[in-house]
Amino acid sequence: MRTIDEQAIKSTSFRQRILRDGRLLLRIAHMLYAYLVGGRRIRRAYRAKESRGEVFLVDEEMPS
Amino acid sequence: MKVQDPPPPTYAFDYKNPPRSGNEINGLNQEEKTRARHVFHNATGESLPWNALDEFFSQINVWGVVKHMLANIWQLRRQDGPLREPQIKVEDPVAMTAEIKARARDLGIGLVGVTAMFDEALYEGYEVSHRYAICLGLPMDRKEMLQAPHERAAVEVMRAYKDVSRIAVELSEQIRAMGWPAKAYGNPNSTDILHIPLAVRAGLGELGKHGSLISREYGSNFRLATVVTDLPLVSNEPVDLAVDDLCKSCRRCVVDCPPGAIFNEKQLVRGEKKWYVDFDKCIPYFVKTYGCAICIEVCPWSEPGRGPNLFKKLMARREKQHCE
Repeated sequence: MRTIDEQAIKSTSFRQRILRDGRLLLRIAHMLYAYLVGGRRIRRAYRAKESRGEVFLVDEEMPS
Repeated sequence: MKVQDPPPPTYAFDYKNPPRSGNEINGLNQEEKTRARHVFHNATGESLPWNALDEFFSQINVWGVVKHMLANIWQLRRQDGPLREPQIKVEDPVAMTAEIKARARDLGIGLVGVTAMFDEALYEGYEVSHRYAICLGLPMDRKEMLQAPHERAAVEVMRAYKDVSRIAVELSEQIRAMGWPAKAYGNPNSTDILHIPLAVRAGLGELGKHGSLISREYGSNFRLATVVTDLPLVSNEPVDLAVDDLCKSCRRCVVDCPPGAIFNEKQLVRGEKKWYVDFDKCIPYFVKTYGCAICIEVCPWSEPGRGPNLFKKLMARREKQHCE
C-alpha cells in the first residue's frame, strides 16, 4: 500500500520562504566568513604555538 | 582493522580556566535519575561549559568537514513546515508503518525503526512534542572510515550526517504532505532530542562499550537522524544482538583508544548502569583529530559482513550456556 501523495509539498508563502532562506543564508555566510577569516588566524596561531611547543588557550585566545 | 599511526594524546591546546568536568555534567557516578544535559555540541545558542573548545574544534577543522556541515545547516531549514490539508486518515497503522519504512528505504536509508517518544530521549528542559520517532541510520563508506583518526574519516562522517539529514528532511516533508505533523532532526548539532536512546528503543541496535550504537548490519559504521511525528505508527521492539555478551569480554576499543577514554566496565550514569566513555579524556583527542572515530571502526561488529555471523555465534554460545 502506498498512501503517500507524491504531489509537491505545500510550502509557506513565497515571501515567508524568501525571508527564512535569506536569514539562514546570512547566518551561513557569517559562519563561512568566520571560518575563512577568523578561523585562518586561529589555525595559524595554533599551528605556530604547536610548533614552538606552546599551548593555545581556547578560553583566552579565541575571538569572542 | 589496524589503526593507522594514531597521533599521541598530547595537546597543544588547553583551557586557562578549565570548565566543570564533562563527566560530572553527564552524571557519571550519579545515582539520581535525571535527563541528559548539553555539554559540547549543540545548536540551541545557549552558553555551554565546553563552548570554547567546541568553537575551537569548528575553526581548526578541515574544509571538507566544514562544507558538509554548512550544506547540512542549509538543508535543515526544511526540517519543519506547514501541513497539507486535508489530513489523510490512517486506518491501518501497521500498513502505514510499512509504507513509511519503504519510503525511507527508497530514499536510500540503511536502517529504519519506529518508537514511541519518551521523556529520557530529550535533553533536560525539553518536553515531548510528538507521539513517535522514526529513527534512521545511514552507513558510512568503510574505506574512508578506515582512515580514522585522520581527516578523510572526518569528512566521511560529516558527509554521512549531511546525507542522513537530507533523507530525514525529505521523509518529514512527505509526512507533512499527508497532513500530519513531522519534524526532522539531523546531527551533530541537535537541539532537544537524543538520537541513540531513541534508536535503541526503535530496534536499530544496542549500545556498545564504546558508547555508540551497534547494529547487526553495519556495526557502528553508520550515522543517525530522526523524524518525530504524530502520524499513527506502530513501534518496533528493542533488539537483543548479544552485544553485551561480546563487549564484556572484548577489549578492542579499550586498547585502541589513544587517550584511554573507554571504560572496561559499565558505569553508573544518571541512575543507570551503562557503557560510558570518559568525556574529559575523549573530547580533547576528538578535537585534535577532527572527530577520531577509532573506536567505532576497530569494533568487530563494524567489519563488513561480520555482524550477522557474530550474532549467530553469540546466540549459539548463550543457548549452550543456558543448557549447561
